[in-house]
Amino acid sequence: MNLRAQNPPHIRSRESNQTVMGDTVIAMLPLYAMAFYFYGPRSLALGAVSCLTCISADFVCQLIGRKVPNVRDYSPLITGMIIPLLLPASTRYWIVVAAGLFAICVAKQPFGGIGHNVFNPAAAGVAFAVICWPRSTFQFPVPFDPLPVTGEITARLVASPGRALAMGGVPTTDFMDMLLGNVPGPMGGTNILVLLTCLLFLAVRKTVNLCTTGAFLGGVAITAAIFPRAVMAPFPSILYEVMSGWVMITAVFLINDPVSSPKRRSARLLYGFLAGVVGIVFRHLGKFEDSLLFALLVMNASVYMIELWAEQAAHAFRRKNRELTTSANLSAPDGEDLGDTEG
Amino acid sequence: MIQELIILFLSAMIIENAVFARGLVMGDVLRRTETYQSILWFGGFVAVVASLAGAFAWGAALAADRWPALVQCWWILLMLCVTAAYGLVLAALRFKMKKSGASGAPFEQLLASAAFNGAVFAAVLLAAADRLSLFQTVVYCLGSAAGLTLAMMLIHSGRERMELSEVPRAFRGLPVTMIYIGILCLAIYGLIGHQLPA
Amino acid sequence: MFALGIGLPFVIAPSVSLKNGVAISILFLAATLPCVVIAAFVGKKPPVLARMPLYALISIVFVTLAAVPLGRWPSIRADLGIYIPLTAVNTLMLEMAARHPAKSPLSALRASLVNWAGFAVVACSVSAVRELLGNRTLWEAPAALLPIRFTGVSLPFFGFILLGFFAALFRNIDRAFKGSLIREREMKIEEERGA
Repeated sequence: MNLRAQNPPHIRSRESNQTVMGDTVIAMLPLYAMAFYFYGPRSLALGAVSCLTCISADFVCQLIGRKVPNVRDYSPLITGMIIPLLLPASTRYWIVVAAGLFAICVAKQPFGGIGHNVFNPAAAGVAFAVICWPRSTFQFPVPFDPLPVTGEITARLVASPGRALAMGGVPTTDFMDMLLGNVPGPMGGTNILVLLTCLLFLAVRKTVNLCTTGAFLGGVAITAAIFPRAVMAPFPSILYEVMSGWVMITAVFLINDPVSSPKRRSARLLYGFLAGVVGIVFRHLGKFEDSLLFALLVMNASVYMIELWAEQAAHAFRRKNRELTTSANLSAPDGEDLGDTEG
Repeated sequence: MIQELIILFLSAMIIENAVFARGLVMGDVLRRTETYQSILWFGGFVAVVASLAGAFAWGAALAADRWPALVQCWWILLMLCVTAAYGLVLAALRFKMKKSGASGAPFEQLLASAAFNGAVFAAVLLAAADRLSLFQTVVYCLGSAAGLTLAMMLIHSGRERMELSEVPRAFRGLPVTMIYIGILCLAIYGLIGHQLPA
Repeated sequence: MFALGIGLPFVIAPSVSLKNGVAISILFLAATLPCVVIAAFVGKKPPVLARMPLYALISIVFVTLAAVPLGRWPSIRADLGIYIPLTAVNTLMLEMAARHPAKSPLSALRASLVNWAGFAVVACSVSAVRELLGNRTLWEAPAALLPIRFTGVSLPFFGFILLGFFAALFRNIDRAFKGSLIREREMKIEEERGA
């Protein structure tokens, strides 16, 4: 029997790595369209700079590692597209470049490149940007305020609804505005309706696993309901937590990263749920306005342990099942009445 | 009171270990803790030695209040507390192994690595510096040990995963482990939100 | 040293400026050298499990003495903080003194100095890079490499990452150097065969 080692994602259909990555790129295009609608051409320029940085860095790293760059590998493009969507539209270009370089040169290539990265590269890159430049990454332009493509940002920069929650207050933002993305926030994280559409598209194309997303949102919702960050009823707390910051964009794109997430279904459920719970805990205890990406990185590190436990649990369950089946077969064999001894 | 202790435990577990650097004496510890079970044993030894040493250090702090000259050799005094704790735990371990008839040599070596470890000494130093009560000191040291154990398990899990990956030759072993720990450390810092000048 | 991961905490956490790097290197020497030399004299006489506490105690005495002059630089002392007494339980000292004491004091002295020199080079390199990127200074004098300040580099996570890349770089250099030595040897053998 010939055994062939294959890197994730492990696809068991007619799809290929290329189609999966292509679907993800297509799913992000509406988010860039909405970002352009709200913030103007600067959003597209940020995306272009980020993609160029990630693709070039990936190319150079592969050449240094004496690998042949694969033109059909869209993973650096995906990383480059996600990074600006997690940041404000007023972010400086060098922050996006630094995040991109960190994502590729630190979080991806040293671990072996595509299929081997332990951490989600985009999450690691943005986390690095947040640590280095916290003020720039948590000050957002108001939608429809004009932003220059180059030069200094003179537009008004405000806090997102997440800041009010982080301070223990109730945001005054309308839920409808939050649904439509008409609130200050990360470029791709505020358009909840568009994100849900992207999720639907990816689910229909079977690019994402809805159970992971569902488990993640479930974890967020349950924790937000039990431990609200401000004095409010559980349902508004759930809505504010889910619709602010990076939760929805994480639920659609980052949590479903096929490389840094588990493979087994039970492990995915546990991983998604714990990521949601830990994310809200990080939001409670963290000093930043939103610490969800850091929680995701910690969960990425725990994937191997989660998979190990899930596999051991599955083995134990199968063994128990087999034992029960065997003992049931032994106690009542077919067609024979053991008690009838009289002739 | 309980809430305060829980916060103290969690802060010792997460914040004090955010650095990962104090407890990571690397080489020797990584060689001796190649399974999750050995990591748990190591963490257990750290917890017991640190708590005992912390208790002795609390007493030493009271003595230093009475005899201020002791402050001049404060670090030496704390190291003596760690040594005393190590001695007690070693004696208890030998007694237990003698009763059960098992060989305690690997455990004794693990205990020695656990006791004379940056994490234990740091926990004792910090607890003494904060002038915590006896109970708070013990809780703090237990929290530090729990955090170190959790950190070691995460690192071990990452190393196991990276062994299965095609890590470039130059990065295999220590380099990629360092980068892995760095990103993990970055994630934990996101929790504590180390405020830097922007 | 890189392979064993010795002395890592002291390279990573407190070395955020070149002055700190130099200071921690000096403390590391004070913590290590006397113990290793004493261990060479004493040899394997103390029981194995008593050696660690013995040398940790000797080390902390020397660290306490070495830390006294640091009082003249309170900012460095404040920066190094808890890592000053922690140098007393560094792995290099424990490996060389407690576990594998050298046979002669001279070889112990030579080995500890060589290892310390390696540590000092790494600590100072990492400190210099972090100071340049984080503060755009070197030895507190302006030395801007880039127009942007990466404030996050003064956090320990960057120390780990930088150390990982340095280790990979040194490994590559070492392999290239060894590779060239092997090739030279092979060429010499072939020439001798040909002659």
